[in-house]
Amino acid sequence: MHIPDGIVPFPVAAAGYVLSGAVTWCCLRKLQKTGEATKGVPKAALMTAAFFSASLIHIPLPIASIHLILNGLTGILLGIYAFPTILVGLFFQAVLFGHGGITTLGLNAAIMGLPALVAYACFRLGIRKEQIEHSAVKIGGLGFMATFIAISLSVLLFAVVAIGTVPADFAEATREKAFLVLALAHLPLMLGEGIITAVTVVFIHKVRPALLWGN
Amino acid sequence: MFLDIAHPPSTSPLHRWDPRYKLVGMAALIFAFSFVDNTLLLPLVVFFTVAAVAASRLNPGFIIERLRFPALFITLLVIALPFISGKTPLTSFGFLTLYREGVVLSLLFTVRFLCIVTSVVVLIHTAPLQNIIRAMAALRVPSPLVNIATLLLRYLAVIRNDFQCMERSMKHRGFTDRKIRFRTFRNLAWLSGSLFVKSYDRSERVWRSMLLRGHGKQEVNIREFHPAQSSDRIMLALFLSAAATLVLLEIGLP
Repeated sequence: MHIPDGIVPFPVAAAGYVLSGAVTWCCLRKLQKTGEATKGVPKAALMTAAFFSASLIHIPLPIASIHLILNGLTGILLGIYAFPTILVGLFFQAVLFGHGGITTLGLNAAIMGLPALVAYACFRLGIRKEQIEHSAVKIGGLGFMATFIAISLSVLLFAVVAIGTVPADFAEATREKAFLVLALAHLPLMLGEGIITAVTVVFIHKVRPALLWGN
Repeated sequence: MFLDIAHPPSTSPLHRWDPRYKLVGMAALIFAFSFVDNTLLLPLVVFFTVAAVAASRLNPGFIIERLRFPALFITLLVIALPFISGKTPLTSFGFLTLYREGVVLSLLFTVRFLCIVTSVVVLIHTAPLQNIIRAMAALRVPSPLVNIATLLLRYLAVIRNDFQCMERSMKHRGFTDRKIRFRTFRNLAWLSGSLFVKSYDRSERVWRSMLLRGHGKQEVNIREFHPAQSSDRIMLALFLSAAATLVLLEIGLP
């Protein structure tokens, strides 16, 4: 779900950079205020490395196995740091794997990063840090919901950018069909990754709650 | 191609170019490529890319090898576009009609994509990635982003190795991920959860060792570079001129 170089018009790519730059600035400013900007760096970097590796996990779904996106879980575990780490992670993905792009880095960061922040908000709105004795079912349910929303939002943003702004002379019916196919194709991923995130969040809650709730 | 970026000692002008100037020059050229919409300018885009490859003295076969994987992502799109986009039919193959606008757009996407990716390959294979990150720091990219990138580069292979060990252990214990059932999902989730817990614990140790080494007490300047030479400035001027030429022609041409 990454937009490669060279297929979107320059103004769209530039708008992606402006949007991602603004969001990154806001995130870093907020982290600076809470004193997490420096202390959180090793955690953010090593967790990004872990997300890189875990995204290689293939989940068995009908027709084919697909790899995890993990932006919902990134949001849940890293909070505000999710957006800057996704930006850095996508930069590495573009230069090391050629997956995504350099000119579309801003767009891809917005497509992956904004839903991660939404997932964080969903999860934290559902459970407060002071009430962490919640049942596993509630924590897992919120993890599932946050991931489902994050991936849906990513698919929506991707579809708007990839189908809506690519300067191809498509008929309106073709665009609508492409939107529908894209949404249906990602439905198994939303469910599969939702289940994996739910179980992962419950596992982390039991094994290392500090990772989920902070010290 | 994971992290196996080779940097053979080379005397090419691009290898010798100061990474700060190289980053600015190559970025300008890459964004100028993405600015091009006029197909008349595509030969010029290809010419500048070939010139950059020639200046890097990288083996063309090596660059083609590096392009193979990224090219998979747009292959389907550029094959499909001539048949699904456009209004002016060129020819028909049974129920498929080839449209002129689709062919032009497909050509534009292909050339822009290949030239941008080739330029990125040239950029990262003419300087170690650590130097490119240091150059970003020198160009005032916010320090949390630079520090995350530095640590990520340092620990990516380590964490990946952890992951592979855990995955191998699971398989040795008889785990198979081919069956669609809750148990498979649960085991994969436990695998990823264990990896996150391990990485988190390691990050705590890294933070403590950073503090022990005096992190935050004394400003460590990773922005230090040797003073730029006139050859660095000349190269930058050449790259910026190429980028400006493309942008001006794109604006000026009908």
